[in-house]
Amino acid sequence: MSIPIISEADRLRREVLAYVIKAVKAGTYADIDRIPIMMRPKGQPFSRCCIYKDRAALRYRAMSALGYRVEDETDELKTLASYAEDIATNPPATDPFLTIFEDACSACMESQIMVTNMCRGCLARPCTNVCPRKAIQVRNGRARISHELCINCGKCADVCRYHAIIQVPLACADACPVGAIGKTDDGRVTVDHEKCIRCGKCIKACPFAAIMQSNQVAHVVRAIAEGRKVIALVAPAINGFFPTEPGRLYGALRKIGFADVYEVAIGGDDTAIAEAEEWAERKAAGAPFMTTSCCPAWIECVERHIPEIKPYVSSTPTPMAFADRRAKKDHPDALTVFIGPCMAKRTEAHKHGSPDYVITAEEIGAWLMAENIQLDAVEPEPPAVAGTQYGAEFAISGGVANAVAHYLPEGVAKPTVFKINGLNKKNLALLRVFAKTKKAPAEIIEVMVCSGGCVAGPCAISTQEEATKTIQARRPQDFQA
Amino acid sequence: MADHVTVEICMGTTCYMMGSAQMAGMAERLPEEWKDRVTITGKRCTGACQKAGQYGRAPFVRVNGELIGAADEGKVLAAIRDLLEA
Repeated sequence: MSIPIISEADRLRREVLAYVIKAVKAGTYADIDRIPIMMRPKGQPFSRCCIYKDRAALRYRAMSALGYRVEDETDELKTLASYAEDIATNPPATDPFLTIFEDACSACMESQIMVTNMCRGCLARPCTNVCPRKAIQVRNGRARISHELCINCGKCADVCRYHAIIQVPLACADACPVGAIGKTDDGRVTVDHEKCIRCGKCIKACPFAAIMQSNQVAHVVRAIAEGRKVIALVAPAINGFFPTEPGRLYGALRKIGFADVYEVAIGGDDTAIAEAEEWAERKAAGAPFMTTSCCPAWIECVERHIPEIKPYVSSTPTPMAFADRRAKKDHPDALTVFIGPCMAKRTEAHKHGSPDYVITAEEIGAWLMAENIQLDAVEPEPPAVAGTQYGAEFAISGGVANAVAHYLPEGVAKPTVFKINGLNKKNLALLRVFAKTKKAPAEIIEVMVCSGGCVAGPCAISTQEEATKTIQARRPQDFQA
Repeated sequence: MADHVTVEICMGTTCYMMGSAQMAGMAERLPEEWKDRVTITGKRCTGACQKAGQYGRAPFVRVNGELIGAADEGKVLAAIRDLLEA
């Protein structure tokens, strides 16, 4: 059994977020300029090449926590305190929310197969036999790979008895399902925002934390401090990350200043009901299949990479959109804030102009850290609007298709389901084939860009397994999976 | 050498965010031969994380009373091994 780990990059990001939130809430902006020094004090260990680079990286991390993109910097001497002051008048950075601290990028080698010194130039030479492109030859007692011929299949690495051949990964580019990551002339990372589907996989993958996202939590903290009425739209995945009953989290959200809480699970129910009807109509009209529409990174992927599949993508609004509609209808004077594990939701909100802000599970967790709120000490409170378990399981791979099947209008046959559980280069090609041939292996194609569903989102707090277990443990007796 | 080891993982908000969430299910991952000699429990926040600039020292775990800062499963397992197999 593998041991789940939290990366140092995740820990640093959460720590910075918590200090920033604390200072913004208290209005003690000068404290933010102290964060890099406080976290990397003189004479203490450091993680990058020196303490000064660590501090510089922390400065940019604080800048992104305050809602800015690193690329927005025009004056390197501008203090973090003045960035914090500007929150009062400046909205947070807009799409693309991905931001790169180029100097943190280690300019890793291109993804490639490499022969190491362990090669003994053996007699058997299985590497040369297995290579489908005849890219390996043994010269001067050692296997040599011709990189012009090599297709990085890794077969040679599999067969070498000395483990002398290794696959050198390029973490960010290997994680990107759509080939949006490139390199500058000096080998640093670049992101093609026209290709990027905003999934956030590269943020998680980069071992140097060179790729970051611009946050929005500081603006929400500030809005609440100014007395604005702010409604929290809590995504179902969030209730998987905290091992308490959801009511305690809702009580905590009210305690830190949210006026009320809407479960996005109710939006999940709305989406499933509408999508079930949509499928019934499409099927009657002879549609071969329909894909789900709730994953915003999938929608970006459709628009940027597989426009031909658009006629088969459900046009039903997402759970976030439905929940936002309910909250705005009940409270036209309020700001709405979606709280979820997803990066692409920010882009979805940006495109539709609502909800007003999107913050992540990490941001809300850091906020609870900053306010020193212990969930087990908070009285549970019901949400203003609650969803069903079917809506709640939108956060788990398979849950959306299950909810759609549950809400089918009478007389409509249960559709067959094919799951894309985690988008990658391979199944993206498969989806393209479905569109081209107008044929798919099932009637409903549930697409979730994160493997495991939203519970495995790039801004998740606990492990996918634990979050899934926590959500599924709340199934009522009559729940049909 | 200890006969029995008690592991107390802080489940307070800061510790949970800084890594104790990843230690959930650790009892099941223990080596078979340790399972009836190790007890793992969750603990409420003791406030150690609340001193200025101390979030980074979380999560806190106690192994037979000995405090481990910036704990992770590897550090905790090493501490258990020291006690059980010393």
